[in-house]
Amino acid sequence: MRGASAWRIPDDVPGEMRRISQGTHGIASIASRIEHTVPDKRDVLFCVALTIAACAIFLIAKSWSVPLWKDVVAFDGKYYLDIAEHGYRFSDDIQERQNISFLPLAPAAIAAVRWMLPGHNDFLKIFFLGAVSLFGILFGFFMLLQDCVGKQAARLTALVWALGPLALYHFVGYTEPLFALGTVWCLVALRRDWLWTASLVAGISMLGRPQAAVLVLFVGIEVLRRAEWRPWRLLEVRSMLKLALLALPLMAFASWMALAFHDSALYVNSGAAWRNYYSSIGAYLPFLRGVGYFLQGVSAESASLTDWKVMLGTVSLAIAALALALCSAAPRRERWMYVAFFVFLMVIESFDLNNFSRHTLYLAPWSIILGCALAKPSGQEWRKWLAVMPFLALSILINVIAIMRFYRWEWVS
Amino acid sequence: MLQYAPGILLLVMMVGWATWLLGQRKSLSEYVLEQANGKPTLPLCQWVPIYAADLATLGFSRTGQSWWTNQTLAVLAFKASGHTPFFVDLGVVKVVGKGVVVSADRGVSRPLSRDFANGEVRLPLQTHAHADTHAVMIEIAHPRPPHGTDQRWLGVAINKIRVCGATDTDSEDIRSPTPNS
Repeated sequence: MRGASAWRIPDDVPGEMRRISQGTHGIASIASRIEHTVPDKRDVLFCVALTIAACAIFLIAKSWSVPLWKDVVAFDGKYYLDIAEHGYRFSDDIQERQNISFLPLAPAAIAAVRWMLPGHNDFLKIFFLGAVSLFGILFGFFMLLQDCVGKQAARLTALVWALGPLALYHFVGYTEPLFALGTVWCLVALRRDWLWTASLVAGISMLGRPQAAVLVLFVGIEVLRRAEWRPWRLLEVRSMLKLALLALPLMAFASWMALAFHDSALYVNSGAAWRNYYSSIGAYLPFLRGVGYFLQGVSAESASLTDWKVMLGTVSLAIAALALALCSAAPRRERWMYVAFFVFLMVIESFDLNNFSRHTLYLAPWSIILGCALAKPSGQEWRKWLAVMPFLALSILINVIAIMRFYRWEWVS
Repeated sequence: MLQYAPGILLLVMMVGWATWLLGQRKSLSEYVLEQANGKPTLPLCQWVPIYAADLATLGFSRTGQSWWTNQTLAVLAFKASGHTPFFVDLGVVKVVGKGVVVSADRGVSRPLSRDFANGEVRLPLQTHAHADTHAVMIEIAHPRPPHGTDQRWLGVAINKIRVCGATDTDSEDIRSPTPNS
C-alpha cells in the first residue's frame, strides 16, 4: 500500500487538500502525508506506562543497594557529570585518566538538564533525563513502525526495549541511551523523508558514540539516492549542506580540541592512552577477535572473566545472534543498519570486552527486529505477549541484579 | 555548472577545514616526549632503573623491579644528549610471546624474542632528536588473550636503561655496566 495510486483519499482530508489531490502530484503529496501518521493518545499512554514501569524497576532495585533518593552518580556517569559541571580538563600527562576521553553529547545533555531543573540532586536530574530519553525512544518506535509494519510491532519493540536486560543505563547518565535515541530518530527521519533532520541527528549522534558513523553512512546513502545515484549531483548546494551537517558537529568538537589543547585528535589519544595503561588486553578490539577472546576466556575459566561477565556476555551474544537470525522480519533499512553496526565493530578496534553487553544491547535495531519478528505471525496479540514473558522475566531479573551491582560499585557492563 | 558553484565552494571549505584539523593532530609518543622534555637529562653511560622519575612512560605497569607491557604500543621517553654513534641499551628481563618489536627515535626496529631474557638490547638514537628528547617504542602486533596464569608475563619486561655516546666512553665498554649502576 505504499504507492500513491493505491491510496483512497479519506473523508476527513480537508477540502483544500482534496482539491490539490485531483492532480497526480497532489495525490502523491497527500498519500505521503496519510502514510506517515503520528501515534495516537493510546500509543502515547502505552509509552508513558512502559517508561514508568522501567523507572519503577530501576528505583526499587536501587533502593535495595542505596537509599532511594541518594545522590549517587557512578562510573562513566561520574565523568560525564564532571564534564557537565566543570568542563573538559587536560593535565598534560596523557597517561592520567583524562575526562576528554569521553565524547560531549551526554555531558551536554546533563548540563542542560542541570540548568533546567531546580535542586541539587544530580542523580534525580540525570534520572529525569533518562526517563525522557527512554520515552523518546519508545515514541520513536511508534513513529518508525506503526505505518510500515504495524502498531503491534511497535508495541512489542517498545516492550522488549524498555524492559531489556541492561535498561538501567537509561538512568545513570551514560551516553548509550542518547545514542539509541539518535539511532531511532535518525531511522524515523529517513523513513519520513526528513533528510535535514536525519543529517542533523546523525551528526549530533557522532558526539555520543563512534558507532554513529553507521548513521552517517546511511544518511549519506539516502542523500546519494535522492541524487539518483549520480555522485556529481551531490555538489548541489542542498545535498552538500546535508552532507556537511553530518560532519559539522564532530569537526566543531575537533576544532575546539585543536584550539584549546593543540591536538584535534585528543579524544582519540587520551582514550588510547587510557586503555594502554589501565585496561586489560581484551579492551578495544575488533568485534570478532573480542568474541574469540571472550570464548577462549570462558573455555580457560579465566579469572579475569567473572561469572557475571560470562552470563551477561552470553546473554548479549544470544540476543545478537537471535536478532541477526530473525532480521529478515524487519524493514530493510533497520535490518541492514543492525548488520552495519556489527561490520563497523568488526572493522574498527573499538569493541571493549569489559563493556561487551552495553555496546551490543544499545544498538537499537535488535529490539526493532525482535518486535517485528514477534508481530509477523498471525494470531492474537496477547498470545505474543505471553510468549515473550519468559524473555522479559529474565531481562528484568538481569536488570534488577545489574542495578544492585551498579550501586554496590561492582562492574556491570 | 554554475548551479554547482555554491556546493563546490562548500566542499572546498569543508575539505580545507578537515585538512587543517589533520594538521593539528599529535601522536601518543609526542605527548610522552613532551613530558620527558620537562625532566632532567639522563646521566650518560649509567644504568638507570626503569622506574626512575627521569623517564616518561606510557603503557607500562610496574612489577617488582621491572616494568612490563602487554599493550599494542608502549613508549619510554627520556632526555639525553650525546654524539654519534649514540645508543640506548635496555635491560630485558623477560619476553613472552611473538611479534614484540622495539625501536628508538623511529629508527630501525628490532624484534625481541625469549632469547633476550636477562640480557640487553641496543638501539641507535638520533642525535638530531628534537630538544634532545628520545623515545623508545615497544610494539606488540597481536597481543595474546587476557586469560591463563601467564597474563602477567605477556609481552616484555624491562628493568633498566642506559644511554651512551661515542665520546662518553670507549665503544668496547658500552655494554658493561659502570660502577655506579
